[in-house]
Amino acid sequence: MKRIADWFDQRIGYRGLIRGMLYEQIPGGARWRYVWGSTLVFCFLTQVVTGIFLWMAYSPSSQTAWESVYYIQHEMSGGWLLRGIHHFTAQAMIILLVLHVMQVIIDGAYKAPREVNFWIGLILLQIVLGLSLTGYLLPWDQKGYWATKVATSLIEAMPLVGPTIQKIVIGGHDYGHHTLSRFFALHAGVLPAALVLFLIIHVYAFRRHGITAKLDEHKSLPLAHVGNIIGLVAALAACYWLFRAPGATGIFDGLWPGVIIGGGIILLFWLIILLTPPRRKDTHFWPDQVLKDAVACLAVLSAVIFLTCYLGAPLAAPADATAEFSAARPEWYFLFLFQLLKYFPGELEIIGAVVVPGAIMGMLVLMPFIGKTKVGHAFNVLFVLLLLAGAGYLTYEAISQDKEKPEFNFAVRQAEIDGHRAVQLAGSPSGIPTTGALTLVRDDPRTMGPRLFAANCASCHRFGGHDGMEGDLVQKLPIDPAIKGDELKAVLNALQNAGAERIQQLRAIDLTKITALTPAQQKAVQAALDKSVPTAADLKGFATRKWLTEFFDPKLIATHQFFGGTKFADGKMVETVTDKDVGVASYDDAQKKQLAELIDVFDQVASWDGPITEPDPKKAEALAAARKTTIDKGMELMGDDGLTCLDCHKFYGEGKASGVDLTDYRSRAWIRAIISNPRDVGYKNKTDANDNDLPGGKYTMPAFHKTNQLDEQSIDLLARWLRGEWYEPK
Amino acid sequence: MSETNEQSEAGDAAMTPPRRSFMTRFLAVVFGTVVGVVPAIAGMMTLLDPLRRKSSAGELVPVTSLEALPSDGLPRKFDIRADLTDAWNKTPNAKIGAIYLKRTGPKEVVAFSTICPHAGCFVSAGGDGSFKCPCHDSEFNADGSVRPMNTQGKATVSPRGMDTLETQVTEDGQILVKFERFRTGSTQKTPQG
Repeated sequence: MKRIADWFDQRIGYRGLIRGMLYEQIPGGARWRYVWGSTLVFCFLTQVVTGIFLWMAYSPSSQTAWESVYYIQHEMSGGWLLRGIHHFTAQAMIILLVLHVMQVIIDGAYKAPREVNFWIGLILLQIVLGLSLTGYLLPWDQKGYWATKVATSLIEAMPLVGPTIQKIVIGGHDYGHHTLSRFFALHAGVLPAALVLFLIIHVYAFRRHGITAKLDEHKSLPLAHVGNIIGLVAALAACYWLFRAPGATGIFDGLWPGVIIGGGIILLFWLIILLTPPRRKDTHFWPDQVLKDAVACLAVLSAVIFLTCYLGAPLAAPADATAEFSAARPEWYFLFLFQLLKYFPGELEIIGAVVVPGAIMGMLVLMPFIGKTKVGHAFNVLFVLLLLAGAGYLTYEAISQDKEKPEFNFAVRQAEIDGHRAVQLAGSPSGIPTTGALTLVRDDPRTMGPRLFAANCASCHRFGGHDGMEGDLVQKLPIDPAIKGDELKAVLNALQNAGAERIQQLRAIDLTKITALTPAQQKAVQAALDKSVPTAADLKGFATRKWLTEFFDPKLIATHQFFGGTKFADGKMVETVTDKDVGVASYDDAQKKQLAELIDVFDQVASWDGPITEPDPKKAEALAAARKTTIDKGMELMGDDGLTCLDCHKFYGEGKASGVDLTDYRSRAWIRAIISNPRDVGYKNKTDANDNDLPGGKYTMPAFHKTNQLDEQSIDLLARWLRGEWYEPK
Repeated sequence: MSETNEQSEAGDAAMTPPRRSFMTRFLAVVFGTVVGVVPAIAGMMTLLDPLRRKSSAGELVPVTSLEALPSDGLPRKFDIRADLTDAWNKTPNAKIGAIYLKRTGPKEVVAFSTICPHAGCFVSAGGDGSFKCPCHDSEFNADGSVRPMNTQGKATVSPRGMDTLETQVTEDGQILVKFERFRTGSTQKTPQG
């Protein structure tokens, strides 16, 4: 064994290399404060390892990127763990980088002869930020897509060369396959290679000049304690503020993550203080410092694993250029840059996007020269502290401004719902088609129905009291424009905090009890709510048996649910139900039984989707026979000897057409027909000649398909959504 | 083996650079450059390929009909369908983007791009006909012009109003729109080339 080792050492000289690596002199002994560099190397190696394994399962193209990431996250064993480690280690790396840079500057480790190595460190910082930016797009989900769009739009805003560079970066005029392949090549090829190269130089140069020893450290220990305590309080306050649930009143609500993290920090500092005597003998890197480094890396990994299990790596819905995504934000460590853009209006944008960050980097580059004198060093330290405080403040502003925006909170909630749904669809037994998961989402009634309803139907109809997309009405309230700025904020906040997400719930609230509102505001909100009364039926549960049962309830028929604010609310059908002499209200037991049987018939009818498509002739014949039995039964129940419905309604060719056509009533085909063109199922338009004969003469539901407002797919999606026909996982 | 290495290293340090002919040095540099540059040029050509691709935008595409637009002038969002080319994939009649359409007269309409002129986010329509960008809080009036101040009382960051798109209303009330993208971050509305 020894001989083999010798043989290799003679040819490669590995022993010298290992000796050089492990037996580096550490003046003043091993210290906890020297661990940051090693934790960064550890993070990078973790990223390389997890990244390569992710690479083995990832496929960069606009039809496969989201899909392959979904597959890693939700189908492959251990995929969630692998992706979680990669995701959170990237974030840990940013924090550790900031700590590392801070320490270098405060300790004056950027001074001669270490200037060049300091600059290499700054290059490494840029590369890591580049890796974060490119990595965020790779899952090709809505979050990454829209956040990266902002970043590449900023490139475009650069004078002269902007559009050209943007085109090269995104690989064309618009986002697509080549955006992904280019970002992936940068993320997994170019940037890591550059990082390895500079890291080797960085570590080599660091070893050349050795650790910047702070031999008089014990003098600054009291100061370090003050710093630790300030940091701890700040961490606690940040956690408290971040994790506190909106509207929470209890003092400990949301405090626990802060207590856990803060407690961890206290423990860490205690350990550091306990294990660090003020002055010790020089020692070697191995094993004293290696142990400390290993413990620090273990702490980082534990935090990463904790976050992976507790939060998990996120995956929003697949990227869609046509779907509004109002929850677009960069990763948290870029939020200060995002916020900075808000302060530079118009063409000054370039100052916030390029000039200010560039100037800051320029200042950092100049630090070794500025720091030559004691005053210069003090200036550098002050500068970097102010920089950190500034970034912290901007991050705080970005998050707190978002927290106050109801529409943003709504968008974030909706993004979570959509992401969850996309994953459900991808996991359905039919799987993801080759056209990609976006096809699944766009053909999903559960996802598209509410949007189509809110955009096309909710100006007249309601769905369970809201506009299809729960909570949206708060945002869309026609608030009096006289209420401005802070007042409007107060109104919206008060509505949100009242827990009122639906118009009906809002209407039930006694607004005079919301003390956050002035009487004038209360009045304005009340007026806004009054205006939001629907003009047409509430369509939730339209195709269900419950809906029909309630329809024939004399107490319920005249409510908004069935005829909204239309003239039908005073029409013949309502009279037919409520009339105490001849209406449903007067029915004896035999008639009530007939009505129940009729509801059974219509429950059958509603389940038929157009003509029978059964390919097996025998089965088709049986189905046709069953249908005929049901139809005959319906005819009998609705005819002159029954409930006389056919005096007004048509039913499979029989009866009069003055009311709605009950053929296939409430089936998918029928709902499609009424949306496409209401006249096809007997709803009359006000332009019809005989409109004066009709109770709903002023009723004007548009013919959505005939007038080219909705395509057939959208109408079918609406019909399926109203009927509750969508995939639900078992 | 190790001895030879040590010898040559020591030799290098001790040796004075021998005179070599100009040709030798010249050819070494030329060959070295050629073998390095040729593969790099091939790579650069494909890297810069997007620059010679022309934008597919520029044709009027049917979007909807006049009847779809409410007479109160509130904007409605419509998907734009056209043939989509994404590198090697061509998808006919695909959703390629969205626009806001609003009625300004019996037969007149205005189309706005949903892309914020500031940094490219998807602008939302408010219930009162105005527009708001969810990213950096730019706000726009119902006519698409940019508001100098947003509701938070801060200066609006968008350099220009919402981008209008060319529209055409046919005799039978069909609305055609030319779907284009414009350069972000500039006061000038310049189509992306």
